[in-house]
Order: sequence, then C-alpha cells, then structure tokens
Amino acid sequence: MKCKVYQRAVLFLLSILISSSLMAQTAAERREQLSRMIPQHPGQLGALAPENLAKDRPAPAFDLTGTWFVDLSEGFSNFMYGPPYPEFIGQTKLDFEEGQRARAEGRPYRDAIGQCFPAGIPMIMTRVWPIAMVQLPTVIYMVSNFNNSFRQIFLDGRDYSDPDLVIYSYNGESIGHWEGDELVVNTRYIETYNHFIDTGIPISEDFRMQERMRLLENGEVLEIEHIMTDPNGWVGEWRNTKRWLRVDYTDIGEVECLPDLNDNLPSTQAGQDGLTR
Amino acid sequence: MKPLKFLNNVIYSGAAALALLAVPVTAHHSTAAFDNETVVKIEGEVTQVRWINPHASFKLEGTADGGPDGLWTIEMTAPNVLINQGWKRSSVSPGDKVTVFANPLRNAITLNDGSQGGLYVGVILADGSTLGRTDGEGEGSNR
Repeated sequence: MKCKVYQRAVLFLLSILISSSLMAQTAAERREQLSRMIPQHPGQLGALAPENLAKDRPAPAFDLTGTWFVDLSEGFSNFMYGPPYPEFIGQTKLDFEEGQRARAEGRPYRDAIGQCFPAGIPMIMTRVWPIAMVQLPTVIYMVSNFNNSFRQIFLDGRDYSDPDLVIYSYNGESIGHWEGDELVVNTRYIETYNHFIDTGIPISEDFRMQERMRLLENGEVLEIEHIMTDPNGWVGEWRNTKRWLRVDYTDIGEVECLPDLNDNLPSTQAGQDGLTR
Repeated sequence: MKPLKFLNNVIYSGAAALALLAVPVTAHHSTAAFDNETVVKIEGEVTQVRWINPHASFKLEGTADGGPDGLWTIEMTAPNVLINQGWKRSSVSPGDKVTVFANPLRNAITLNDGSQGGLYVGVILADGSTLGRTDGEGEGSNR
C-alpha cells in the first residue's frame, strides 16, 4: 500500500518536472524540436505569414473571394474539356479511342473518380458542386465542395518547388501572376496515377496547364481559358474556355469518399474497366 | 403510345429539362452503367438508408417487377439535390414499406452484399405520397 503511494508521488513529481521543462522552452525552441515534421521551403515565407501578406504589391485586377458554380446552362456535357480535342498520339490516342467507344456503347470506362481517386485538374474545376474561393494578396485558396478537394494558387512571386523535392499532387503546384485584367495561372507537378481528363484520357508528368482567368458581367461570371499541353499525349495546345457563376447565396459542405461508399453505389462497382491497379 | 401516356412523357421530359437548367446538379461518377430505358418496380421493406454526401442510397428487400426478387441497392444523387426535389432526411427509414422505381444496371452484377443495383427514379412512400417519377417510366440521375 505504502509502495503504491510512493510510486504515485514519484510519477506526479516527474510529470511536473517534464511540464515545467517544456514550459521553459521558447516557442522557437519547441518549433526547432518539431522541425523534422514540418514541411520546409527555405527562403520563402508561408503564404499566410503576416510579413508576406503585408508586403507592398500592385492591387489585383479582381477578387475571386466567393462561391462559384460551373455554368452548365448550355448542356451538362460542358463539364468535359472536349470536343474539340487535339490530335492525340501514341498510347493516349488508343486510350482516347477506347473511351469514345465506351461512351458510344454506354459503357463505363476508367471511372477513377467514382472509385474515390481525386478528380485533379482540370476535372475538379467542373465537378458540378460549388467551389469556395478565398483570395488573399499572396494566395488564392479553392476548396471544391466535391470531396473538399483543396487547391492553392500562389501569388507571392515564389518559384516552383525543386523538381527533386516536390511531391506531385492531383491539383499540382499553381503559381499565378497578373497581366492587365487577367490572372494567369501556370500549373505543373501533377500526379498521373489514375488521373484522367474527360473519358479516360491519361496525362504524363510533362502535362502542364495554363489558365487565363477574368471576371465578366460586373464580377458575376468567372471565365477561364485553359491551355493544356502534354508532348507525350497530344500535338500542340488543347484549348477550352469555361465559365462559372457567382453563387454567394450558398456555401460548400463536407463531402467524404468513404471506404465503403461504393458498396452502396452499384454504378461504381461496374465502372472499374481500364484503371491501373 | 396512349395519348395520356404521351402527355405524361411530354410533361415529365419538360420538367426534367427545366430541372436540369434550374437545379444544382452533382456527380461522383458516370451513370453509363445503368439502363436508362428500363424501369424496375420493387415493392419491399427498407433495410438501410444512407443520407450522406456525395450520394444518398438505400437498400430494400422485396419483390421486383422487371428484375430479380431479393435485396436491392438503390443509388441516388446528392442529398442537397434531393432536398430540392422534396426529399427530407426522414423521407425513408428502415422498416418502411415502399415501392421503388429504378433503372437497373445495364449488365447485372451482384454487389458485395449480394444485392441487385438500381438508379433511383421515384418512390411511393409508406404514407402513400410520392417523390420522383412513379409511372413506371423515366430516367434516373445521380447528378
């Protein structure tokens, strides 16, 4: 009995000693202690650093802050980026033709999004869910309601990440700059694994996308011209222009692709043809 | 085609077109897997309801006109779109006796739980009220 009391007293004293030694460390020291776990980009302040936000910059041509919804009023199929399509080459040409055959036969093909793979750019922009956008002087944050997919466009003049250190992602690394009344956004470092455009058109690691954004109709309409290149997949530029409507009367919500979601969705269990496993 | 049926089709097609223009739509994936020219009528008891993004769904055990009897999994669009069509979270609950109209899978497969799959077109609820299209025709949407 006595022994247990002593043990508890020792544990209590030890916990006080540990907490007080932690309290004695400065925030900088504690950050240093955790630095191996915090992503680093030496020489570049974070987009939300007050010092970065406060830097002198020319005023932006417009502010995208708001909620937007892809304008499919001319037809639902406008969520796709073709036709017209560029001249596909090599395996991409064969994959495109297989996708077109599947569409004509009413057959699912490479339904990667249905299997919970991220839509990625450009398809995430035309999921038929609202997109919340928050524009700051240094960055634009976009959160699609669809699976709450996160995208950021840096405006703080930074360079692209080191190609040997960057971690490819489905929405890639986007850097924007202003050209007159347009925001020009260039994106690279895009993950290719089960990442398709339209009906099963693959991309390679050389895929690049430029978006030329402008606001129309007193800021009620966002227009984006997409210029996509992939020398391994098609010849020249694949261009497509789309519009989004400001829908500030709504909000985005939470959407999760749960591990067993597809147990209740018959179509996704039938839509796995052509995916990489 | 009987005149009344034709009129029904015109009204429903027009309503569907207007709905496409007016109502926010959603999409997790393609509906190509479903035979949108066939409607199966399933009378039975609801065994499970999932009212969740990106797609609601429910299961019912019953007898089917136009398909096999047994357990069916009914795929639906997103709850926010269903709300715009008059649905509520409480519209269907486990234990309810309902009649469901659905487009079956084009190439029937048995799902993981042994059920058949269909895309929601309409339902006659336990209290006799209806949601969606319940005349045995129509094309479902998961958007």
